[in-house]
Amino acid sequence: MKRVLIACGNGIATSTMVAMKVREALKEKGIEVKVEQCKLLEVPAKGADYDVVVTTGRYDNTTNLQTPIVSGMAFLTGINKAATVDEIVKALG
Amino acid sequence: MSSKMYDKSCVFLNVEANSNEEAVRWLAEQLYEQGRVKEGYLTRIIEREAEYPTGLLCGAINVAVPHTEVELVNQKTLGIAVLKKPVQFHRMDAPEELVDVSVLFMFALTEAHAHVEMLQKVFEFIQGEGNLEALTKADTLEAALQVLDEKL
Repeated sequence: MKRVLIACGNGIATSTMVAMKVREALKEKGIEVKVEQCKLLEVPAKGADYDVVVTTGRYDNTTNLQTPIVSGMAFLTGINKAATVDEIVKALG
Repeated sequence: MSSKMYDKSCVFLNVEANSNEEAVRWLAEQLYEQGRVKEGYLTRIIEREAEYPTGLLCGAINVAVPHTEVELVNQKTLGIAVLKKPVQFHRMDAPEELVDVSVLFMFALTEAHAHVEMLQKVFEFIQGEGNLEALTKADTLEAALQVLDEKL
């Protein structure tokens, strides 16, 4: 099963919301995923174990993580949601 | 349904603030005075806003969603402050950019990864057409509470 990592500042609030929304959106597309949450600080260490990382909050990929990183802001603001879902689906391959 | 999401005593209109720190501190102080958060929350929430800003660019009316660690919270609370005039917050997804924020939704959560329903309701409210406009146009607390009762 594909794995998605959701990261936000504290790893507790916005990532919880986004995790739920991502799971729902992918389910609608018939894609089942394992979704986990973490803080943005933890992405360099954990990101490699996932197929895509979805962030709320800016993430500078200074460690050159190879895992695709998608901004999940659309799930909070509602702007560009469909495009974001497509981006995630594409990243999952 | 709605009254579970927020407490009437935590909704404030016409909040005066000249900076995002002021706005965040003021709302946090209201929650503290009601015993809902610990004293440490007051400083930590401002620090957190500086580290990981919560300004959201939503469209015509923008919001901020300040929140911080669960250890500093006594009681799960949603604090809502409608600002008298918009104040600049840094954007969550682009911290070097500023956005004019008119409403603060302060989450005081007692558990990590929980409160999904409350978070979902708030973001649905934020995204729902006309909700923020109705909230910011309300000229009395009763009118604002009515908007929240219906839409949140």
